[in-house]
Amino acid sequence: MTSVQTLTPQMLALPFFAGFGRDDLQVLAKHCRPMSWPAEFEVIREGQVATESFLVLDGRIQVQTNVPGRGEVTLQTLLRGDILGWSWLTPNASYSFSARTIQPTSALGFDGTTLLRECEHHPRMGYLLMRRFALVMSDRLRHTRLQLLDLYAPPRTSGSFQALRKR
Amino acid sequence: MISLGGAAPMASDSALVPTPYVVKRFVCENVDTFTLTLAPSSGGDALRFAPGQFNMLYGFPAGDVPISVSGPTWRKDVLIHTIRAVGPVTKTLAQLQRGDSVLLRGPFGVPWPVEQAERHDVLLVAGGIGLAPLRPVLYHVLKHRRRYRSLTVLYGARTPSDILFRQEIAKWQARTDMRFEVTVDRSDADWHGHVGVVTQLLDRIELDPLRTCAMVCGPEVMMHFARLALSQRGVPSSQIYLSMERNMKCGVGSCGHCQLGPFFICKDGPVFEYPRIASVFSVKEL
Repeated sequence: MTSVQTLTPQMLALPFFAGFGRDDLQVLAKHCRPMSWPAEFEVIREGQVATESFLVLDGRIQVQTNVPGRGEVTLQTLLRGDILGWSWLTPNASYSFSARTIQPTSALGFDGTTLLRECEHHPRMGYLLMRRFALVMSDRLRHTRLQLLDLYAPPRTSGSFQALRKR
Repeated sequence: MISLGGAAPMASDSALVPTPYVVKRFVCENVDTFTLTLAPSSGGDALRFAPGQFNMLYGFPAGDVPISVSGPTWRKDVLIHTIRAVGPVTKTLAQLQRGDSVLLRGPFGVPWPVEQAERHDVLLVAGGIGLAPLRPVLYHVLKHRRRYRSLTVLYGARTPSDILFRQEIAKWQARTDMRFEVTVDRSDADWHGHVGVVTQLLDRIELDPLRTCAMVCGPEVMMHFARLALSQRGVPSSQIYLSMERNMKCGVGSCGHCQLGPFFICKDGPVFEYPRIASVFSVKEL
């Protein structure tokens, strides 16, 4: 089993934990476990009770949802440094989307329920952690808004030129 | 700071007179984009150009349009243009067949700063058809690879089927002396690559900001957010270059169609060092 002493230096090297003190990280490390999955592994499933967050260390994860008639649609790809899962921050939450690895992937998994309790007992660390999650959410929202803009959409007047060539 | 300059071929007065070219090759890139390979009808050398410059192509009888050259600068026999068929002229050009004639004049505009970027990390950020004007930069850097430090290309497309230059991208991705990342805004079931906007990739790559020269081409909103992300990563504004698009007609700053604040995009651009256009970049309806 990986010890708190082993995990803390690993966490210090991750941008997500920039600004956290060693004491804070030791508290977090108690509720953290290294995880690794093969390719095509379902990490979380839409609708499951949300209890964990995963900080990607290596590999790729697809965030997906099932759209009737289209199958599993990928909404976003997560890479090293990205967070998967924050639904546990809200009461009685379930995961909003599914997530599946594209390639062998390693991550740090955090137990959200116990993390929330630690945040109550260590308000400074809790404040830092909430601000960090707020940053992740804000980035995700900004990128989603840009996706919604559909920047590369063809103008309304355009269409397939191949039809023109057949005339 | 990198300053624009260098010896970009500029259109002389005679370049206001169109020259006949013949279509040597027509390639469908995706549902609305195609690439034309054009050779001078006279059989001589094609016009010389610098990466980022554009030509005016005539689609008879609809009119003419500015199209960036998307091929390598060293091809003396042909000019290559990648065109998205979105308006009357480009749709006319889309109907050209091998052997057809087309009129062309140019080259026009300020090019990408390929010489000034030497000894820098080169970062190309392209969105949609914006990859086409940046492709000559990529060819140039790869041809003169030792003159540059790292080479990274981040390319965002709407969907997997909208990705341009697929076979070339596969070759570039296989190279060990560069990095080429592709992302799509919307995926399909067969796509196992990255999904998300291109600025997301910018947040994740390793950067040596002070030694990076970034060239960005795509829709203005995409360039705006790419510029913001680059600035947040510490890349100096003077090392960020954007390619602006406006309704260019004459190509020499005479007609005023492409005026953007104090600039004529056809003559003062299309490539700008960001600080030059920062004040007008976000002005609505300019």
